[in-house]
Amino acid sequence: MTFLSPWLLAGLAGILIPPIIHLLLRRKPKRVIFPTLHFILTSHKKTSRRFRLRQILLMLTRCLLLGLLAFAIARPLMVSEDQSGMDAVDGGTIFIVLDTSYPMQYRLDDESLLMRAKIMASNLVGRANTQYGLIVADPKPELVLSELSADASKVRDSIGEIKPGLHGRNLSAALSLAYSMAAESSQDQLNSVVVLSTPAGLKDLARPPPGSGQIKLVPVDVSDGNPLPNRAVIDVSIRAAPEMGTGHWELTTRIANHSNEDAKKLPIWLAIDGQTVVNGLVDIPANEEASKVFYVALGEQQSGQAEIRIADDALTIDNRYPFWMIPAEPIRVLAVNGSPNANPYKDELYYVQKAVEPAVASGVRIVMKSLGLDRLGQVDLDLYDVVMLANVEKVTAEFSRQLTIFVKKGGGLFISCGEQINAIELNRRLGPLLPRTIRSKKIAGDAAASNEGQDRRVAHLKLFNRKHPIIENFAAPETTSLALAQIEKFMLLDPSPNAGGDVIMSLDNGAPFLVGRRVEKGRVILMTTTIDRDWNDLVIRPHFLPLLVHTLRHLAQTKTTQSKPYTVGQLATIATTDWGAGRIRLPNGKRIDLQSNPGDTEIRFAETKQTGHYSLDPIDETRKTAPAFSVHLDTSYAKLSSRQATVGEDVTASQAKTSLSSTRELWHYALLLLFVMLGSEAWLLYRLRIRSRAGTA
Amino acid sequence: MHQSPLIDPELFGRLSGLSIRFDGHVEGAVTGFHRSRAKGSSVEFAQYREYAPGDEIKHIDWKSYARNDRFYVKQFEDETDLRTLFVVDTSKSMDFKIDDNPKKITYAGQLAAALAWTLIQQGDAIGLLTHGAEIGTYLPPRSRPEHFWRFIRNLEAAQCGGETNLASALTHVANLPLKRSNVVLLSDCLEFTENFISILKQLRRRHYVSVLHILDPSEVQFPFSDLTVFEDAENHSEQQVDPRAMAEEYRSAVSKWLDELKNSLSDGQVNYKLSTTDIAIETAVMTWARGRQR
Repeated sequence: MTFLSPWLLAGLAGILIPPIIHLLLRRKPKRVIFPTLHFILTSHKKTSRRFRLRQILLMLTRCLLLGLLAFAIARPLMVSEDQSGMDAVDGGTIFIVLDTSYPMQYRLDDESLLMRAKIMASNLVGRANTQYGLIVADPKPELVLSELSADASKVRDSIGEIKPGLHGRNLSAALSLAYSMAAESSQDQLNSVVVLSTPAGLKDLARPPPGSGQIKLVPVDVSDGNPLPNRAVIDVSIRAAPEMGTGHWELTTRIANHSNEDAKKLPIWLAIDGQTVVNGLVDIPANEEASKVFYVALGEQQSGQAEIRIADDALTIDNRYPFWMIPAEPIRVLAVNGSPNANPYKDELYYVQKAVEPAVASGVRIVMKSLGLDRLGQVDLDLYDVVMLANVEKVTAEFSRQLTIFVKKGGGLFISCGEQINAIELNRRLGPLLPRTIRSKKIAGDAAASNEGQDRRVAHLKLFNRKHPIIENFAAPETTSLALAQIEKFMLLDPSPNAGGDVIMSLDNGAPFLVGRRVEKGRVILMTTTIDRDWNDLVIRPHFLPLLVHTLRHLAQTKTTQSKPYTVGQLATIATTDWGAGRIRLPNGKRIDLQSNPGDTEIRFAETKQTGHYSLDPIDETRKTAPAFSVHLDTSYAKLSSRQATVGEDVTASQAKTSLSSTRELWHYALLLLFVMLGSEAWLLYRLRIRSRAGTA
Repeated sequence: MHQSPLIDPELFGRLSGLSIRFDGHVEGAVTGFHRSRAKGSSVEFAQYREYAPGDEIKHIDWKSYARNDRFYVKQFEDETDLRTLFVVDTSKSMDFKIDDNPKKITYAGQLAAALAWTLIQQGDAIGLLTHGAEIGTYLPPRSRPEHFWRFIRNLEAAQCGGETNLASALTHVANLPLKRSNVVLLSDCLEFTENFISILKQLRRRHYVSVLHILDPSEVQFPFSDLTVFEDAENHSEQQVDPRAMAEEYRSAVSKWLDELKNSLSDGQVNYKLSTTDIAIETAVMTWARGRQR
């Protein structure tokens, strides 16, 4: 038995207080001459022994009361003789492998599992002729003390200084380290490796490798075999939900219930910028997961720092899941109308404008400005992401020069054809940008086709380049309404592609329909037919809308809307184009300066030790703070209990349960005994008082 | 009147109208109102008895002879005075009192004086025997009024000392040349031997015996609570006890002793009355007198 506060055992001196009080307050007897001494003698003989016994018992009870009080506040710990089988290892080396992963912050009886583990580890220390090695099983296990030590106080101090982490565990690496050190330390004596972890952590521990000497693996379940029910938010997925309205998001969160009891009506909250915006209840069957879907619109002023939270349990830190809701930047499109018409239905850009209206644009905000050819000279192209030339006959040399610079700097150019096009002029002015040289207009139907008895008056989209980013968005493009579109006229292109150009979609007659090309940092797409109903009915097909949106996004080179979340300790990557020189702001508000080297496209960031929201804080004050990424716990550790042990498979867990029961705090029992003694003292006192009252009656 | 602590004139005044009768037969020298064993010539018819030679002829009932043709003699109740011998215990244990109550010996003397006064007022004879470890004063029963004062003086002169020896005292009484008398024992009876009881029963064969058991209230109630060394009044042995521990047991033992004493004496047709010294003398006298007239 050991004590957590052994100096408080000095209070045991208190057991001397009752005898001292008795001696100090002892009364001098009166003297009375009494005739009926005969009866006094017989009565005294009968009762004196019993009375004396009661008085001695009362004295002993009071002494015990004070002793028990001192004993209880010294917090005794019972370490049984067979504790972990460690008694046989005097003279060897004990490697204590301590799990510091976040599940060890689980609170059992108002004490964290890590604290229990530290107490157990401290109790192992202090054996004669024994050296100790202390290993913390974090993702990069290492020896806490630089070398093995036989100094008990030093080892205990080191154990006391161990702090809990938010990371997972790496018991395999920790055990490998322990085994290798044990093999080096002594081959003659029995070395022990004591692993202190949760039942889940103790599953499938690696055995000592053959030839590593006498090594005994002692797993210790710090939960003492108690059930460890836990609930955790394990995932959040986000998608735009335009069907719910402009700027709406659909958040699907998954919650796991790692317990043997169903969770009924578990409260769940979604908070944005620290304010709860929506809440709900969720039922989760025992040992299963459940999903909860929220629809929410992000306000203009909201930063997008979001967090899903569920009702707290014994492990609170996995009840929160931080993430960013990053609204997509709008795609700014300048549409040059080559065939304007007062009748809206006949205007070249009518269908395009309808397609990019916010409510139907699949959550992608597209801001389009249309201009006539006559106003092009007044336009600053830097204000746009994509320039669309719709059935434009020709462009001026100046505009051509601006357009080339615009594209080379990363802008997007979309060209659609039509009756107005002057192929020669376009090839001349925009030749360096076009994916292919434009030739002549082609009508899909011909006499030969009609003679074959088939409807060859129109062409259909048939060949799709599945590797192209635009087509990747369609699971089976051949089955979509795109394949049903009837193309009556189209422009033929030069069959020899320019550098970088590739065909994205082709007609069934083999003619290219959609051709793309990369020009330095920019992209160009050429559609060989009109973007209105003049030459085809594609624009009224349902899949025209996603085709147009994906094409514009491709040209604008928009990023994935949501940043990738990381788990604690994971290496995060930040694109330099997003950020440049500046600082990264951690969830606790601390800033870390980061510099990228010229030519680097991304920076790796390793200080992801905190959960929460990380943001980019540019040194250039004109730039706004931008979301970077979020870090959450590795929820694969959220299940603390082990599954049922099977013979030969999970022996360690059952061993652990046995060894656990041998270390137990006793102050509860001491207090219980103290209350029993108090009751006994009161009863004895009552009996004596009753006798006394009867005696004086 | 002689001034004595044993005499309370007011009490005696109230007792002057009291008469103490015995329903048994006593033998006396003068005529009184107690029935005599002797059948005499008084007017109160007692019974018929067959004539025997020696009977006086005048006592033959001739009417009965005429009816039965046999001689019967008429017998009549004779009336005589009462002799009462007060046996007062003067052992050391009687010299005990606690609080404001009188000593047991004083109480016994006052009680004996009151009874003696009542008896001598109705013409009965009173005698006295004091005894401690040994026999003290013996005053034979007399009915003359001046005898009462001798009785009082002897009571006053009695000194307490020695151990109780009731057996010896009662044996002495049995050997006294007394006619059938009323023997009244005033004692705390702190003699725990069967001998004392058996001698009392033997004495009852010849005399009418009454025991006035006198105890201090503390001896019955045991009102102590503090740690105390108790010393025996007679043999000076001592014991330190915590009264809280054994008061109940003590009271139970005393109660049992008193019950056994009462039952044993009742079996032997000995009149028994317990008087603690906090009971008024008048009450004790009246109670005893009523007990005699059952």
